Formats: sequence, C-alpha cells, structure tokens
Amino acid sequence: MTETDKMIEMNNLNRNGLRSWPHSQDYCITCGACSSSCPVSGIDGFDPRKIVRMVSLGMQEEIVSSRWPWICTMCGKCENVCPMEIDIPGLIRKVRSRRDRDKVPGILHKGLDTAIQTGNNLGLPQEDFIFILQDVGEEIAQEPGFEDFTVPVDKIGANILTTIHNKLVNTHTDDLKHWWKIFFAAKEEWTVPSINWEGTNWGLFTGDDERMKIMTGRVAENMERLQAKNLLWPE
Amino acid sequence: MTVKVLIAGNGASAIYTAKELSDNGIDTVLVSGKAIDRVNFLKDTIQKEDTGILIYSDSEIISCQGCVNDFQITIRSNEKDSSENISGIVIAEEYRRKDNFESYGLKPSPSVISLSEITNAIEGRSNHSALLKEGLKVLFLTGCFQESNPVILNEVMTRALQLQKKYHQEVFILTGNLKVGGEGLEKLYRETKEAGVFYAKVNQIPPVIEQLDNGSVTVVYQDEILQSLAKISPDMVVVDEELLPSENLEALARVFELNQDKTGFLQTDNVHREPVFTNRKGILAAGPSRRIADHHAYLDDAANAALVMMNLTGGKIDSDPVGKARIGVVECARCLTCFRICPHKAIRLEGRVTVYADACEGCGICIAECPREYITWTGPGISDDLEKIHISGTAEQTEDFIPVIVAFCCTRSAGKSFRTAADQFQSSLPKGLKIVEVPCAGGISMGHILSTFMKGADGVILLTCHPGNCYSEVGNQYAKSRAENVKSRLSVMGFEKERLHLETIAANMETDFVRIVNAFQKQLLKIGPSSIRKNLKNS
Repeated sequence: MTETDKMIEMNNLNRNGLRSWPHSQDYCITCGACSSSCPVSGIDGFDPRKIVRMVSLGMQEEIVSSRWPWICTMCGKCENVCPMEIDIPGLIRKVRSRRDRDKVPGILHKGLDTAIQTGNNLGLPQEDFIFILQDVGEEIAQEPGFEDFTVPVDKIGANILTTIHNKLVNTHTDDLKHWWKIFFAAKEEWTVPSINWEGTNWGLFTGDDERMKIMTGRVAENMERLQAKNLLWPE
Repeated sequence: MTVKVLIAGNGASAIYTAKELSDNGIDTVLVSGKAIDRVNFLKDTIQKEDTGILIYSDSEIISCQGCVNDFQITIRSNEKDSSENISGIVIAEEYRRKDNFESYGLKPSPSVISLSEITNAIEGRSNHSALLKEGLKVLFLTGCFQESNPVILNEVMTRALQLQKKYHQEVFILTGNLKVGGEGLEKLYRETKEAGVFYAKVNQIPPVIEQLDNGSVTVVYQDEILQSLAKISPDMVVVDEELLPSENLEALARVFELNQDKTGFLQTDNVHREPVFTNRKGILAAGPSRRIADHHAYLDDAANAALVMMNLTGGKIDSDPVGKARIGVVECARCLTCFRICPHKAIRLEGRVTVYADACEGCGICIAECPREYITWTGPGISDDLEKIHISGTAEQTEDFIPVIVAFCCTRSAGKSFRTAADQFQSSLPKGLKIVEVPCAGGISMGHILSTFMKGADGVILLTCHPGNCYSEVGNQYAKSRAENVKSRLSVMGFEKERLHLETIAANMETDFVRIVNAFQKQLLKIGPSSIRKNLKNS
C-alpha cells in the first residue's frame, strides 16, 4: 500500500507530537483483534491496527494524508474487542480532524458545507421538504386503517421530536413510513421540525468539532422552539 | 540428631536459603567459591551476625560420600581439608552472564554496551555519566535471535523505563516474542509503554544490523504491523545477555553426581519431579542452579528447600522400609552394574555392595539389570504381582477368542491413565486385559517379560513415561532397550515378535490408553492365541 511503501525513518519521527492524545494508542499489544473484527479491514490495505501503529510511531504527516482513516465507518467494533481498551474510533476521528478542511473527501466536505448553509446536507429548500413529507403522509393515508394519518410538522409540545436522515427525503422515502405508522397506531404525540431537520452530523464524522457543535445546537434549538419532551435522533 | 544443611553458593539464592534455614533452627554450613568476610557478609545479607551459620570462604567442595541424612563432605580451603557430616545439601549458585554482542554481529564500543553495563551505570556502580545523558536515542536489542528470558526481560524493561522516565532518553526496544508471563512483567510492560518506550517485534524477518568503523550502528527491520521497512540509527545500543549456569555448577554436578540439562543446569524438564528436587534424595537445586524463570522464584525455592530440609531426620533410618532394593549378601559377585547405573546414586561401596535405603527411590532399575538377579525388592515386587496372574489355555483361533494382554504400567503415568480409563470407559477396555503396575518401567526385566509369555499371555505391552519424563531419568530408556532385545530373541525362538509392544504415555492420557490397548488387541486377534497358551492344560 502506498502509505507505507517508503522506509520509515525512525530517527526523523517525533513521537511526542501525538503521544499526548488520550486514546491509549501506546498500549497496543499488536494482537490484531481489532483487525479481525473490523468490517472494512482489508479494503485498500486498511487495518485499524495500522492506524494505531502509525499514531504510536508518530507518523503524523503520513497518517493525516493517508486515505485509510477515511475508509473507517466509525462502527466501533474494534474498540469493543480491544483487550487494551484503546479508543480506536476516537483516534481515527482525531486523525481526520487534522486534515485541512478542503482536503476532506468530497462528498463529506461538500455535504457538511451545504448543511451549515442550508440546514441539511442536500440543500433541500423548506417548501420541497414539507411537500415530500406531506406526499409520503398522503400515501400512508391511502392504506386501510390509516385514513386519518397526517404528518405533524412543527407541532408545539409534542412528546417526541424526530430528526430526519437526508436520504429518507431523497431516495428512501418508503423507510419513513414504518415508524410513522407505528407512531399513528400507538397514538403518539410526535412532530418533525420544518427547519434544521438534518439527522446526520458530518461535523462529528469528519472530526470537525466546531461544525459538529453548530449541527447539534440546531437540534437543541428545535427542541426548545417546539417545546418537545423527548428527542428521537436515529442517526 | 540435629539436621545440618550445606549450601553451595554466595549470591541471593544462597542467602535467601541460608536465612530460611537458620530462621527455622537448622544448622547451616555455607560454602563460597570466592572469598567473603563472614561478619560483613552476614550483616549485609541476613542482617544479623549471630546466625550460627558456618561459612567456608574461598573454598571448594571436593568430595561427597554417603546419602541423605548422612553425607560426609570434604571441603578444601587454603589447601587444608575439613570434613563435615551433613543431612542435606542445597546447590544455590547464581547465573553467569554472557553478552550477546556476537549473535547481533556487534563489537562493544562506548556506544554499544551490554545490559550489565547500563545496569551498573544506573545503579551508580560505574562512572558512565555519558550513557545517561538526556535526549539520547537508545536501542535495546533483546530476544531477537533466541527466546527471551523472563529474568533478562525484567531487567531490560526496568532499565528502559528508568532511561526513558528519569534520564529523559528516547528508548526503543527491538525484540522477538516478548514473554511477559513472569510475575509483574505485564505491569512493567504497561509502565514502559505509558512512559513512551517504543517496541518493535521482529519475528518474521531478522533485522539487519550494521556497525560502521566509527562504532555507529544502523538497524533496518521490518515493522510487522505496517509491513514496511523501518530504519533506526540510535546514539546508543544496549545488547541483552544470556543466562548460563554458574561456572561452579559443572564441578558441583560431578562431585554430587547430579544430572544436568543440555545447557548445564541442574534440573531437567521432568514433569514428575517437584521443584528444587534433583536425581538425588537430599540434594536440592535452588534458584538459578535450576534455571528459574523469574526473580520471585528465588524466594519460593529458598522456602521449598527449607521445607524439604525440615523433614530430614538428621540420622539414618535403621528399619528396612518396604519397596527398596536389597542386594543379596552372599550371592553378590561385586560386578558393580548396580553402582554404575543407579540414577539416584543409592548404591554404597564399602566392603560389600549395599543399598542406601534412605536414598533408594525403589525404581528397580538395578533389580532388572543385575546379571545374576541377586537384587530384590524389600516387600513384594513385580514377580509377586505376576504370580497372581492366572491364564487358562485355549484351543485354536475361534470366533470367541479373547486375547490375554498383560500390560506393565509405570505407576506415575500409565497406571494413572489406566485407573481413569477403568473409571470412565470400563466397557471399552479389552476383556482379557491384565494390569501389572510397576514403580518404574525401568524395573521390568527381560525375565519378567519372558515369564509372562511362559504363563501363556497372548501379548505383553510395556507402557512407560514419555522420553524425558522418567522420574528416574532413564527407566523408560531401559524399558525400551529391553523390549527391543526381547523382540529380537522372540524372532529367533520362532515366537511372533508382534506379541510384545511398547508405547509411551502420560498420566492424563486415558483415551489414548484405551486406543493403545485396543489397537494391540486387534493385532493379537489377527495373530491368534499364543502357541504356549494353546499347549496349556485348562485348569
């Protein structure tokens, strides 16, 4: 793999730069439990153990410019199985945070920019969003037993406020129906906010703390504005 | 009579053992190969002067007669010989260290040093302030080409931790498999990691180590995680050491007639022998004399040695206990076969040849080897057990032929696996199986085997301990060579040699026991009843 084809010059590495990271990476006993638990291990030579090793070695430039940290899906299995309790997802997120923002892989970078500007990763205008919700709502109302179904947008004082993953109002609208029908059948008081409804937080995913806070703050604002009691944040 | 114990050695192991013994009121004699001052030695080590420990300084043990509870030891100091009557002996010599420069292809230099040198510098025993300079890149080489040793590993990690933490150096450790199984080693490993010591494991491809004429070293190795080459040019290289037996050990082994392992330590890997025991009763090997695995074992061995010694009587046992060898007084031709072969050195040559009953382990090797069969067991022996076996005659091979199998089982291994098998798989054992338990397979003589065939047995099987596991060191080897000898004779006599079989087995192999005896039965079913059995009159 290109990342480590070059001879590692141990004398030139400054391990102290990364040693202060609080993810226990130096405890690695190279057992490989993380590698075998990882669902994307082997893709383009990726292996969580290699990330831990590179950080531990202090290979700062190599790891930040490497493609490997971006292959990880942040599922957290590795951390679960690690006998030395190394926080591998935290470590990978830290590595991602070290990359210049305009070098973050395209879709993530663009999606997050759009979300900050428009409230969702797709840049979907508010009227289009509401139209899609109502359209899905009408489809449900055609089913027997759901004749009175409507989508409660911006309802004040609901028991549950739910965020929406952008793909559910894009390509996967049918996936909205299952839980909405459960809400209806359970006579639940629920609502969907008309603005800043985006459920994903690519600030979290790309290691961008500042923009992660903005995205999270918007959800909190929605909760306050609509006086909702509970938050359902499936992402 | 009081118990008096002799300790050979003058290091930590000897001191701990001496302290344990004297704390338990046992008279102790310490023989040191190098010169030591009694008062200072006791003050510095045992921390009291009035210990009653007798010290022979700068002395050599030159002979040992007698047996446990009654050894006569000759000690030579300043060309003067003294004699001591001793109940038990503890060999407690220290390790000898050998640097591994050569195996790493390095020449020692001011910046290429041994583990002992860095230890001395850190402990302030040598003036090597240059070695402790802040900011140095230090590379430890340990266990790259041979198994790492827990004692050495402990020292490597302790020194690495000190260099990294106290002297603010940057420490790298290049190692093979790191065996952190010893007590406290895993904790120490974590501490070094926490302090920032860096480890690289080189198991698949050996590192390439280059030393220039100016002494500087460059190491290129394969980082096994990243599968990529890495290069380090340290300011200083610390090379590990190998732990070898003390230079006194070979002479002591000769004087006391003790077995040594391949590298010269006093205990072979024998599963039937307890810690600190040697092939001789009343002579123990403690600490580095038997290659202990970690520094905590110094204390364990000292305590175990004291426990064994506290059970000594301080005098000979007068009564004749059961299960020992006894040499026929009149018949003995003094051929000295028994003296030569006894693995426990329990044969006494004074006037006539007798057995030291205290030292005899009852293996029976001498009984089986005595050319005139003049040695017997005190109490019942193998022949008495054979007497009890009755075999009835049988006709030509028929469908209901049940082969009679006599299995000689060493009580330490096959005897145990048989008892478990009888308990768990009784119905799977051959119906004609008869067991003769023996104290050691080395006690089964050619006479025993042949007389078993004469009684009409269809097959004889010898089940001995695995190679290297014989409590009497060589009993299983004797059994093997006798079996081969009898087989060749059977062929000459026109008797099927397949009727005799030998297998090695361990005490926990009950399923293998069942498999082995059934396979043997299958073979006998094919051959049919023995010609001797066919001619037996049915009784």
